[in-house]
Amino acid sequence: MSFKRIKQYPALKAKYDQFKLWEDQTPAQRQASYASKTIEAERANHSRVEGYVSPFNTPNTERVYLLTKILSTTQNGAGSTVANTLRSLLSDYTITGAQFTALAGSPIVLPGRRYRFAKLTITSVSTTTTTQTSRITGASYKKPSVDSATSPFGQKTAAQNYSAAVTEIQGIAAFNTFLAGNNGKNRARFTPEG
Amino acid sequence: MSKIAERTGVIWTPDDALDLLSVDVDGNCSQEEFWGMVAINQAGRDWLTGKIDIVEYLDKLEYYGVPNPFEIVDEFAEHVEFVISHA
Repeated sequence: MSFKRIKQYPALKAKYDQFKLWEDQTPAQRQASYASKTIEAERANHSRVEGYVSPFNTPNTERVYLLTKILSTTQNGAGSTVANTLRSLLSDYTITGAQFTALAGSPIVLPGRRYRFAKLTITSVSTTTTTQTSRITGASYKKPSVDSATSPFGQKTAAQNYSAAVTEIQGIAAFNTFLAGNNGKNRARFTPEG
Repeated sequence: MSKIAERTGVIWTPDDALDLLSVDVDGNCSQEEFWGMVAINQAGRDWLTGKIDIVEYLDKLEYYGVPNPFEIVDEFAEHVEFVISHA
């Protein structure tokens, strides 16, 4: 036998000792070591406004609109580029206050407070990295600059289902351009409603 | 933030537990991997809402290529338990 796992012990022990030191830290010490690693000004800060999302599979006769927060058209905080990209990708799948007011008839509105919307999260990951030392294991790692934006979305047309919407969004040129950006390091995540 | 986390100010939990279980894909993914991501996240949602049981959820994770699915779900359950025990 090659005793592979056993031979890993010295390297793992070094990390474990650091880990124990971190585990034994007081909350104040932990917050300090976290603060030393975080540049608060670079934390993504997106503006949201009231908007509506129409849940999937609701036909025209039963179409409801759930009140929620969607990305605003004016983004001034950190991470605004990603937020603007996402907002425009989902513009057909979310309804702004103005678009809602323009709807004919008396559309049914429900508060969406406890409702889990379908969400799209896109993350831009820079190709350049800085080398950091982990405050938990002491090991060094390469950290890229990352910006994420998330937005709820719903059906574009009545009685559309979630898979169809995902297929459509996946077909949007801007989506593919984004995902291929940064040499394909950019990421996307679709989560369903429920 | 969940109510428990707000009160203790110690632990962060997302409003939607699926955030702890969902996966993403990068730009170098294949079509199969992309739809695998959609399927994994759907399975997570179904498990959280009780539509499928944990056995089926773990089976689906394994089918879509998540190595060691039990480890991930175990970590999730531990975190939830940890949050509840600190309430």
